[in-house]
Formats: sequence, structure tokens, C-alpha cells
Amino acid sequence: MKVIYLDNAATTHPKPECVYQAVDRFNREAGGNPGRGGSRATLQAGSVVLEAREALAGLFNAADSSRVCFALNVTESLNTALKGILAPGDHVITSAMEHNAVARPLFALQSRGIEWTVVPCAPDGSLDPEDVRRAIRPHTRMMCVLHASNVTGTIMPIAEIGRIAREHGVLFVVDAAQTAGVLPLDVEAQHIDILAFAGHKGLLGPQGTGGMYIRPGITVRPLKEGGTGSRSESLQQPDFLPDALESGTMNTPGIAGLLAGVGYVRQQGIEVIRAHERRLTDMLLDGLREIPGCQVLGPASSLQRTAVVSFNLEGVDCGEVSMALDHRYGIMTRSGLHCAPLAHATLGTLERGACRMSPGYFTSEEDVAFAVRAVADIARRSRP
Amino acid sequence: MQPPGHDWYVLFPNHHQGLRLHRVLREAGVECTVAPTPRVASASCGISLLIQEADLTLVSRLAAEHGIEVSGTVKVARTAHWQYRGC
Repeated sequence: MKVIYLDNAATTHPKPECVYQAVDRFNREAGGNPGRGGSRATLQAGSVVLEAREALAGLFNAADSSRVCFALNVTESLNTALKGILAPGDHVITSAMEHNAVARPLFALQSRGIEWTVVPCAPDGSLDPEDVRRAIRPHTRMMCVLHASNVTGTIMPIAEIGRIAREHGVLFVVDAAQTAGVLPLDVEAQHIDILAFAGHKGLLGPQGTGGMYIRPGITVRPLKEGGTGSRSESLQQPDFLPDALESGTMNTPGIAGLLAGVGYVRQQGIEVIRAHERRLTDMLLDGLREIPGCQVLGPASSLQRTAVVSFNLEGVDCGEVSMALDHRYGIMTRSGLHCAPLAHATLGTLERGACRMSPGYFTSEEDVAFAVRAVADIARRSRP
Repeated sequence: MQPPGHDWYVLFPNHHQGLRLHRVLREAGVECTVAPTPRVASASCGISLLIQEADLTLVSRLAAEHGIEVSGTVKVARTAHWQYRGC
């Protein structure tokens, strides 16, 4: 049975051939540990990391590449941004569509004296920036909003929220897990102070890669201290970036792959990638809506969403739908709550969950047409 | 036969800045060699760039032009391993 991978919101698959080659080449031919000593192997590895920082800074229109800090994933970066900035007495604002990567650290921080306001979203997951403005208090330190929902693909008005944050002197943190490489990101135009990204989703790199850009002038306390290859004579953690936030050996083979992935994205063009994914999203939205008993979550138009479509079939558990799609049709999806209980509460599906299909740049229109037919088949077989 | 004299080492706060200047100097055709930082220059275990005395001003200017952070430039007595240098 042919496998159709529709779980690109979890991680993109497959990767471009150049990504596989870059990881393999690094492991076989470079292999040094960046920043550790001055051997040629170290320099080769260090050059890969430097190029990756610069490529990402270019993609996000960030002037200073030394402020791109790598991490194992976007969750690690978001934890660092939240726990490394917020202090007791601070107030933080988020949307009601946040992933647990933001919601869980903030839930934990509440017990340490941080106040958290969740701004409600519409039933399709959309957020009114004016509601965010109304939530600002005198002690608001930060707004942390995801760029697009991992459940509905709903795109948040981050440029408008960024403007409001800047007007009020509030830090603006963006969780770009679902959008880096898929939607345009510009830390200047969108007034983003910290941009956290996943390396293994839209940027097409391997798993175990992610990071964040931190605007100059913002100090983030590290979550961990350790070897950085710099100031080794001192027991005090370096206070400059990227070293301050990059203790321990990094996933350099993964970063080599991420560099290749970013190169591929830039070569193809984000507009081209977005146009392809919008076509697939429209096909899914149109096709699923025609199936009797199929409830599609999220915004009506592909213009307002990334390539993520969650749905439910009347009378059928979302897990059963996902399992049938896998075993009967070879289609990989994700069911349940997608690590986003806040989002499912907003959508009214906290109890029920949903089945999520997320095509990617390598998904074909034929794949999506087959997936729609498969869902229709499951719906027909499930009718009493 | 070890030549007498001194070497000039450019020191950096971290690898990122050192690698950036290395690239800038290569692109500008300025001879330089990446080297582990000599202990007499700094206790840091990071990298340095060995440059020629005649290029000191040019290197400082290029670093400033590209916004590259340099921790200092130090003069170190030449040792027996001079032959591995590119400059």
C-alpha cells in the first residue's frame, strides 16, 4: 500500500534530498564539534553553524545573526524565552489557541508569581488584536502568540499585535512552529522581539533542530549552563549570544541539514510553497465539507490558514478515523488534542478531539484527492 | 631554524565572531590563519586569528565595518611551530 503522509504539522516528511545529503556529509566528512578548540574539523563544523545562523537571520530579516540561538526544538526555545525573562509580578498575555509548548510553561510559572491572561478567540480560532490590547495591564511584560494554530492553521494577526506590543513597551514573542518556511516572517516589519522556530517543520530540516532569534537589548536567562567553548577560564556562564543559551554540544549534523532545508526553501520561494499548500488546503476544505456528517474546524478560507485541516465525522471517534485512514488507506494523520487543549477548548472539541490532516510541499493533489475519498468512504461505512 | 620575532593574534569573545572575521579576511584577500588561542594571550580556549603586523590596521577596520566583535589584538613571541601558519 502506498503511504500518504499528511502529518506535516507534526514534522515535515519527506525532506528534500539535499537535507539527507547534508546530514550524511557532515557526519562522514566534517564531524567536528563547533566552538571547541581551533582544529580544522572544528572550523568546518563551526562554519556550518555560522552559515545556518546567517541563513535563518536572512530569512527572518534579522540584522545580527549572533542573536540566532539554536535549541533542540521550538519548545526548548519557548521555555527559555518565558522562564528566562518573566519574573514574579510580571503579567503575560497569550491567545486561547496556544500549544502546550507555551501553555504548560506558563501554567507552571503561575505558581512562581507570574500572572497569565488568555485572550479568548473566535470559534474558528481567530484573534482580534484589539482584544489583546484590552488585556494589557500596567505590569504586562510580554505577549506570546503563536503565528498559526497547529490544530486549525488559523493565522494570527502578528503584525498588528506586534505594533500594539511595541506601542505599550511590551515584549512580543512569536511561536512560529507552524509558519517558519511557509509564511513570510520579518522581525522588523512585524515588531517581533523573540521569534521561536522549529527546524524540522516548514524549514524542512531534521528533527532535533529549532531555535530562536532575540532582538538586541533583550537579556534572556539561560535554562542551562555549561561548556560553550568560550571564556573557559571563568565559572560564570558567558552573558553574550549565542553562547549564553547554547551550552553543551549542539545537534550539528541536524543544523547542517537545517541549513540545507533553509536553502531549499529560499530557492523554491516561500510564495511558491505557500501557493502549493493553499491549493491543497482548498481541495481538503472543499472536499471534506461535501461529505455528509463531516464537521471541518477553523477558518472558511485557505487565505486565513496554513495547510492544517482538522475535522470530525459524526458518530465516529477521531482516533478510529485516524486508524482507519492509516491501516485501510495508508494515510498518516494525527488524532486527539494535538498538544493543544486550549485550542480545542476554543473550538468546542476538548472532549472529542479531532482528526488532523496536514499536507506539505511534497504532497500532491492526487494524494489529497485520495484522502478526501478515503474520508468519504469511512463516513459512508460508519452510517447506521 | 626558527625565525625571530613576534606573531599577532586577534582574539574574540566567541567562535561566531572569529569565524565571521576569518571569512571577511579571506574574501578581502588578507592572509590569516585560524589558531587556538595561545595561553599567554588569553586563558580562553576559543579561536584566534594569526595575522601579519602590516595588516593590523586593515584588519581592525574590516572588523569594525562588518560589526565583528574583537576582544583584543595581542603580540606573542614566535614559537617553534611557526611553519604551520599561513602568514
